[in-house]
Amino acid sequence: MSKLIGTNPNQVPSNADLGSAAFMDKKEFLLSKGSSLSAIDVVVPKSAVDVFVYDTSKDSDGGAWRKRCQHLSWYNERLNTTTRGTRKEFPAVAVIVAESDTVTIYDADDSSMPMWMIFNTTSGNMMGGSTSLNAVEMLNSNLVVGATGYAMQIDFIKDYGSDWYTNQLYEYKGNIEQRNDTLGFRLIESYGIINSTVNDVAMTVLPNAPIDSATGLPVPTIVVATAGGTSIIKNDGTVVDINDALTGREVTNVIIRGNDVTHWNVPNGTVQQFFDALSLTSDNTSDCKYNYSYGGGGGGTENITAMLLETLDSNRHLANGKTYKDIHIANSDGVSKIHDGYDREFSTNTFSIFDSSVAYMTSAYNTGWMNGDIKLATLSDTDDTDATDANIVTVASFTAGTGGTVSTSGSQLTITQTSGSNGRAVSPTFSTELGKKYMFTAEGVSSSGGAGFRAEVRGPEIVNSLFTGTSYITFDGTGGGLYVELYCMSGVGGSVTYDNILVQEIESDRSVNGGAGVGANGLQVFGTVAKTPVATGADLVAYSGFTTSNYLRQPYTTAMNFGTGNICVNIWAKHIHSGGNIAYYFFDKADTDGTNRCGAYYIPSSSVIDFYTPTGTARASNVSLNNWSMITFIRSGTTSYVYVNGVLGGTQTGVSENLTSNDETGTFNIGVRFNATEPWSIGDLSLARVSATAPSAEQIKKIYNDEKHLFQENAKATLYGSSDAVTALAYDDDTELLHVGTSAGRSVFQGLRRIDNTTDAVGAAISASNGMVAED
Amino acid sequence: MVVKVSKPAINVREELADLRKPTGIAGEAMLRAETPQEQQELIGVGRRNIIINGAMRVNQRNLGIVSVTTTPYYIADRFSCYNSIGSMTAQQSTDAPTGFAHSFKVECTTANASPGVGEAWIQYKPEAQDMYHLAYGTSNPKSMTISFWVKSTVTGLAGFYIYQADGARAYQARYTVHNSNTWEWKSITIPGDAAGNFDDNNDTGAEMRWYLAGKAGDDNINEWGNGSTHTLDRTPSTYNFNSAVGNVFAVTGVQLEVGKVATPFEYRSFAEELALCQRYYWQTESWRGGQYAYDQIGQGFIRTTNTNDSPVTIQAPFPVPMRVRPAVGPSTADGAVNFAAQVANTGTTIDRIVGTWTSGVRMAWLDFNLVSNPYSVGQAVSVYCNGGSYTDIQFDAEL
Repeated sequence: MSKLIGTNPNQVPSNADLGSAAFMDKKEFLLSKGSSLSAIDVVVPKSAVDVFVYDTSKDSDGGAWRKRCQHLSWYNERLNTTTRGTRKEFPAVAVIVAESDTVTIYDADDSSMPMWMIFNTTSGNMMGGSTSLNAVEMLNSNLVVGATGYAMQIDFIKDYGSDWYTNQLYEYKGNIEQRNDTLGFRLIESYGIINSTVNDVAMTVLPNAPIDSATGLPVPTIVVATAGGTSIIKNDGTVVDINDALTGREVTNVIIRGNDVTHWNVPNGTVQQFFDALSLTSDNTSDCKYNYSYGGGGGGTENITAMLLETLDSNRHLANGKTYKDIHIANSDGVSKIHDGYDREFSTNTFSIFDSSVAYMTSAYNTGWMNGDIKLATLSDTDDTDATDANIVTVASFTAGTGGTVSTSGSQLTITQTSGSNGRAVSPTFSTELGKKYMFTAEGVSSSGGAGFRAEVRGPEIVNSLFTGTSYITFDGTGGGLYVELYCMSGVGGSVTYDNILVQEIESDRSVNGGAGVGANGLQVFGTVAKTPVATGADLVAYSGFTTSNYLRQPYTTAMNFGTGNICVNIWAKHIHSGGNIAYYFFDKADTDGTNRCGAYYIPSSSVIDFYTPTGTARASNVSLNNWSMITFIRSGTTSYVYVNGVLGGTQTGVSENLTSNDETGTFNIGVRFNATEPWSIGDLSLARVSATAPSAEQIKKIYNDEKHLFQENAKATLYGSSDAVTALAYDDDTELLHVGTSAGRSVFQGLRRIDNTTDAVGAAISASNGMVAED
Repeated sequence: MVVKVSKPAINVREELADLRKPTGIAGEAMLRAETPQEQQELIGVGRRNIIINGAMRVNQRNLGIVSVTTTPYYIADRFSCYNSIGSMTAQQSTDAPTGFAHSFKVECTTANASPGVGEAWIQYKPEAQDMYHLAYGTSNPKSMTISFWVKSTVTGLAGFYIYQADGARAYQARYTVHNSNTWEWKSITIPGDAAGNFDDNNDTGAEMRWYLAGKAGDDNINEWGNGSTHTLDRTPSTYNFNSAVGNVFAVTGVQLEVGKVATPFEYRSFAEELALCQRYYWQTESWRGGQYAYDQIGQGFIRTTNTNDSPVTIQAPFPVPMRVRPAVGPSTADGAVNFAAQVANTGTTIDRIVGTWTSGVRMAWLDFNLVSNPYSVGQAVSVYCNGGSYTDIQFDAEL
């Protein structure tokens, strides 16, 4: 068959060329080929800045335009040259590779994927003169390339190229055959895009798009992310600029969601959503309604569930999702999978949009869906090392630091100030593990001479100054060299005594509230809590071994003060071991005296689950937890609800309990009652989340249906490998698969579950369409 | 780095069996439809618009520019308005987007920049039986989509509200006015409500309101909820039509249809639209110096020789059967110049309407006194509108 790729474009294969296939009817051919066509598995020796799988079947006419190009320059161009392949017709499926200075279109109709056409960026060529191409996309025969310097739009049916600059539009003085002939450009319009540094490109065809009489196709709408904001090149030829300000605020990534535009605003550090942006008729700086920020919650004008940030705001990527309400946001810390809530229309400063959901997926954990105003997300690890309450620093190891003397007695440490403005006790340096979280606890029990208490974590410098009661400082593991300090804050002669001094690894709160800082932003471990995979070969771990001395507890934090407002606790549980006719607690929240309380337990002998408060208990009956089950406890208004696996099991009205701690002793306990009794000793718990937003029944069902796949055998839940830094991101809307590239390979997610991965590092780009994946 | 391209092997038999088409779910459904009827149902062709007089063309009351405060005023037929925050005028306006001749327009005349209580709205109320086919209260309630053109001086998010009278359930939505005083087309899709209900009767099915101000908040948006608890949040706190005198809000091209997609506005003939409106309201056309002079009201007979004992009784047939027995007004017209009776080729002046003997949904019996009564019992009589200042007889079966 070698002649078939010979130099004569008009050659006709002989029967000898075709071999036995020439003599087969289609049935025989299928039989001989085993009903299959070979997979594509091609390596192109290019260093791409972006790739795009262009499937012309997704064009408005299903790609029929490819058959109407016999009169065009590129169709009749000489074939088999260094910039033109062997085929006249535009491929049904093309892989477009943008290098820094070249755009190459490959023919993916051929499993060997030969080059079909090359655009060089020599100055004056159709592709312009930039040696810093950044992005490429194609739709309805329009190839759009974003570069540092311009956005190039090449229409294959019109045989024409135009160049978008800052407030200027040029056209190339030649056709596509002449693309590399350095014919230059002429100015045709005195309007253009907001900035010539184009970082990203997105395209769509709106339902009401006008038909271009020259092409017979609806005119696409093009959105470009630039160093000065986002420009929408509308299908009527006009351009509208959007951003939170139109004064040089860089946008690095952009996607189109229905009629909305979402972009990553670098100076603002947020991903901003412009509702109905494609309908705008003039520049706009005020229609940003959602702001996916790292902090979440309410802002100046926006209010939404937080996206993941643990370290750096870098490696920014956006990808669409299954519906216009879904978005994937990735950075150096992993992937935030977000599903917008009902309240897509937003008005300013009302803190009302708390019905969206987000799930964080990293190399170490998968939070599951965190709904609305999330307060705690835990039991989401994949490390099966048991959680213990080992104290890293003993009281006796503290030594006197500047300005003080130190004495210890049992668990207590006393600092007496001898000089200067304070006296200090300093711990030895200790090691911590990257990716883990720790808590420094110290209770100030007595003082003299007007002395005050102060605790510090050093390494990262986190200070809790002049506290009363017990100090909690949460900090990240950063390796070795950390130490903690306790102070006597007074004049000379004063003294302070501390007790319950602990430096412990904690069970992380993976929500936005779980960051380092002053406060109990995670769960203290009491005793040992075992961790084992939730199923054979699964990533997610189950937490078990709860007893009256082995459990998890979040000390008092204002985040868990719900007052008489809404609360939702979502947790997965499995009943394994037999139990008595007693209650086994999933969780319990209360002050030390049992007030301001809500808790939930399972009574296996009665097959009931109760969501208890002193003012009323909702009960789900006829429950079996022999398989992993998701139990959802909600107090919405004054009614409480219990859902099991997304199905409402029971309600209770008149539940008016005040869930704000009276005396700052309120704790949230997992696996035990508030006073560490009635432990969940009969099985496993996993994926616990606490929110101040009551999800709808529909949302609960979605959460259950998405998360249940994580509890199956061999279910993977995290990014493959150990790197969280996402290098590329793509969503295949045909297969509904999310592709996440890191230095460890490409992870393929269906929903929350990773279903596949590669092991070769992914560089700058992924594109996926209808099962075909191109990656750099 | 290198570029790697991969795609799984294709099973030709599977591909042939599952020919890929560039179609979405709706497209697939169209292709799978077995009958044209099924396809029509899928794309909603034919009669779609549940709203009567959505183009605001019918304006039987013909009130001109009306000052509106706390009494709901019907302006264009079937649409009313209300304002307890400030005050405003309302009218059937010729300010309309391309393709429409009229709109329902209100203009603020007394401002209230900080409304604490009260509300202002434009309202439409469909009959319950006209909403019944949405299957609310079942496990498969249907979505509905309302679309409309709006022109508003105040920009930003505005509120739309619908209340199920039978289900006592409320839904509050938002739409965005991008540009001030510019006609913009909006559509809002409202999900079905398995907990809701539309009775199969001729009572109020829903209260649908374009909120102009008041009841501000931003919770409970875009979800059905208990009507007794969804008492706020009907308009965003940032939207206040009453913020300044001269603010305008106008709406037209209102279409409510089953499904999740707004289709082009369904134009009906004026005659058909008028007939649909007259199920709820119609009035006699008195003399206004135009073509409706001497519009006949009905025919009857002389039942007594007295002048003040309702000697004239006539039948007033309705143009279409009305929703319920209408209220007839005015109850006491100073009819000296408004009505005339033709009896045995001798005209006389009707004094006043006494009331209805009986009123069905197809006709009413009307009684009149006479200034003088020289007639004999049993003589035929015809009553018609006279010239001069107008007093129409109104038949009101509005919801």
